[in-house]
Amino acid sequence: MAGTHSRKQYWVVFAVLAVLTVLEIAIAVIPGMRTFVIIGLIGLALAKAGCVLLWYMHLITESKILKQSVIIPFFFPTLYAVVLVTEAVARGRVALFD
Amino acid sequence: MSAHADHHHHGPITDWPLDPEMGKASPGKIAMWFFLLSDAMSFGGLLLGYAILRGRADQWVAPGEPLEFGINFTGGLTFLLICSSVTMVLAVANAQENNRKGALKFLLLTALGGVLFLCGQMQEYFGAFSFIFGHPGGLSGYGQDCAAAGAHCLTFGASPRATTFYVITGFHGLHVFSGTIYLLLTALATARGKYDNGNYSPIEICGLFWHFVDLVWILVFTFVYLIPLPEGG
Repeated sequence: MAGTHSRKQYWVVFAVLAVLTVLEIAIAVIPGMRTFVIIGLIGLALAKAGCVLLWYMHLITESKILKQSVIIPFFFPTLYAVVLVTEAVARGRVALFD
Repeated sequence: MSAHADHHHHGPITDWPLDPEMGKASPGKIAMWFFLLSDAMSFGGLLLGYAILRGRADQWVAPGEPLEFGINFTGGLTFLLICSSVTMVLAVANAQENNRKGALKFLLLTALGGVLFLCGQMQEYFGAFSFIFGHPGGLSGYGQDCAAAGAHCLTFGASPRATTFYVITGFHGLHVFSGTIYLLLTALATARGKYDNGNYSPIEICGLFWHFVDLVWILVFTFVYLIPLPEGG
């Protein structure tokens, strides 16, 4: 329930999201090291999405089964993405380290 | 349980009965979660399709297209959505405290964030506010003969990059538009006192939709705007 969250917590999450966004933009323009930049960007995006999901959408305070019902389906597109990347690397379409 | 969904009482529902599996989540809230999950799969499909096309392209940037989409401007739009997310949670917090004026103020501020985001998207696509931000014609080169002017334009249908860009960001923009309408309707009902006395659940459910719009944008911003191109485009 939203009532268990304090306004201070909302502002802390806001600050974290703002800082991570600035960090994303800074990382995106780093020349070279493309693989590490991509991994960093995806990690930051997932961290931001997690903050919104857990604290702004209050998933963190929901029941265990509702949390599972929401989070588990996201593994399927993630799995497809992993298969796609693996297939692209295996075919030599994408260099894992350049 | 202080008050619950008892058919013999006609007062507002201030607390949903504790369900052993779903906790205190109301049926409306659970329904919104499942709607959002199906919506997330739509975005997942679009982003995976984008990844397949981009991963298999020998040359992702077609000749005559811009190399970048303007990261700083879009970063500003991202910050705008983050601001609108914090105003949304504050609207819910005010509604919980039975502060109708506060809830209404923050709902309207959130809707304003949505309107400004859509204006930003119109600037990005068509240069609708080029008198402020420059870049007349926007990415699409609207109103210009791109070839004759030698301008770099992103034309829908001209390349997989252009089409996926407009489809994904346009689908998200449609969510911002519908979310803004939803917010305004919720604000109207709040102003009329429909969500007073602890009956804040509809505002919380509206907030779920709005936060989802923000969450999806975080991923779209990363995958469509930020992931760098390989050398040579």
